[in-house]
Amino acid sequence: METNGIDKKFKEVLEKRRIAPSEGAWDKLDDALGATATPKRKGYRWYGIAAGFTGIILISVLYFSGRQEGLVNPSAVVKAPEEEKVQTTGSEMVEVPEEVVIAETNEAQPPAEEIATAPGGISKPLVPAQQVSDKLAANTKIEELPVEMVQEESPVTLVPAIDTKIAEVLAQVQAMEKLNGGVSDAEIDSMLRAAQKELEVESRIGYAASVDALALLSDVEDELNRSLRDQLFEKLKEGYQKVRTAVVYRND
Amino acid sequence: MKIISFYENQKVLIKRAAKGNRPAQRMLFEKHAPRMLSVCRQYIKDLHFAEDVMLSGFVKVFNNLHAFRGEGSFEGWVRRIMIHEAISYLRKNQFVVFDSEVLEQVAHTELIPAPNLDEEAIQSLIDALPDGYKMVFVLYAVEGYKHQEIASMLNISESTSKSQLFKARKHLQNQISTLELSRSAES
Repeated sequence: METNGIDKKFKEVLEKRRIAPSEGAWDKLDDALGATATPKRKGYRWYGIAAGFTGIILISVLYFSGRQEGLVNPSAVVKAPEEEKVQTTGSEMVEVPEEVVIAETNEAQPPAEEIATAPGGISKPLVPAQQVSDKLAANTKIEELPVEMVQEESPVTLVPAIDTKIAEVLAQVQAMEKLNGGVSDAEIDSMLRAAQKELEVESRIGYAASVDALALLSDVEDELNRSLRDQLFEKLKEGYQKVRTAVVYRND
Repeated sequence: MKIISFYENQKVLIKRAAKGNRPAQRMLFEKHAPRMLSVCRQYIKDLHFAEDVMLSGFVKVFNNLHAFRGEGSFEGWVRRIMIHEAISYLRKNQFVVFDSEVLEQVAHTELIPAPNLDEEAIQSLIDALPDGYKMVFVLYAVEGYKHQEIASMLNISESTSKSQLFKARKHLQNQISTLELSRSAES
């Protein structure tokens, strides 16, 4: 590029020149920068507020829907028929072995001592360890609800059983009196104890239909021993007194 | 004092200004504004209008500061923005006419001896040029752009740029010789 004398002179002079801006120049620029910068900040602020509200709504919806699902699922498990539980796939494998155990105990009807130890010993090998750990949360929910169910159903199911057992004992007493001409207190006492054991076994089997027997036996057994035994003894004594007076009147 | 020395580091200043730090922006403005106002004044006769153009140029500088990668000089980057802002101002507010007469063969410029002129005299000579001549002359002679770049910036042909420069020089030469004659007559 050729350098002309005029070009060179003009360039030198103009390159060195400095013109100070007016005093209010920065204020003008500050206003102009504020005018361009503030709408962006407001926009971001509103976007942030909107995002916050959306997040709160989403979290609340998820939370409440999760709670509803948590409440619905156990009731569905409780209401499900036993056949469906048996046919379910691997996701509900924990429930299936319990049904199997129950079926076995119902058929065999082992004594009370065996039932007290059986559920813990039998159910563990049937359930794979990994599936038990995976379904631990579901199991706790499933195992908790039947407690209420059993507590509600127990008076209904036990009272007819007691009545039938009393009727059986009375029939046995009457039969023995006919044959032997009388029944000793020791014999009546042994018959009552046997009837009590049978009732206990039946009641435990009833619990095991939907509940882990080991978890419930310890809670229920004391109550059962206290209430059921007293009730049974009272009813048997009353029945025995009636039978005895009836036999005495008949002999007379 | 430590804060001032810290802010004197231009890279730090630019980073802070890019994030919207107003004190940093002010320091950059105060450092470069006199030089940039001089650049704008080369194109625009009125100093107040030149300052307005410079301020709008600084708004663009600070709003686009994140685009400055630091590869070249910061002053050169700001200067290019100011030049574009001045040219767009002249195009919007003044009817810029480029002489349609294109010289077929621009004669090689005569090597004119450097005149003895001060800042004001030189600026008045530039102000006296028609806007078409003035833009091409300043871009070529002062800013150092090539004709190809000037042609693309002003949306004219390269030959038009060359002829505008030739005519601008001739116009200036005549004015300088007139000025020197009047000075010699006064002395």
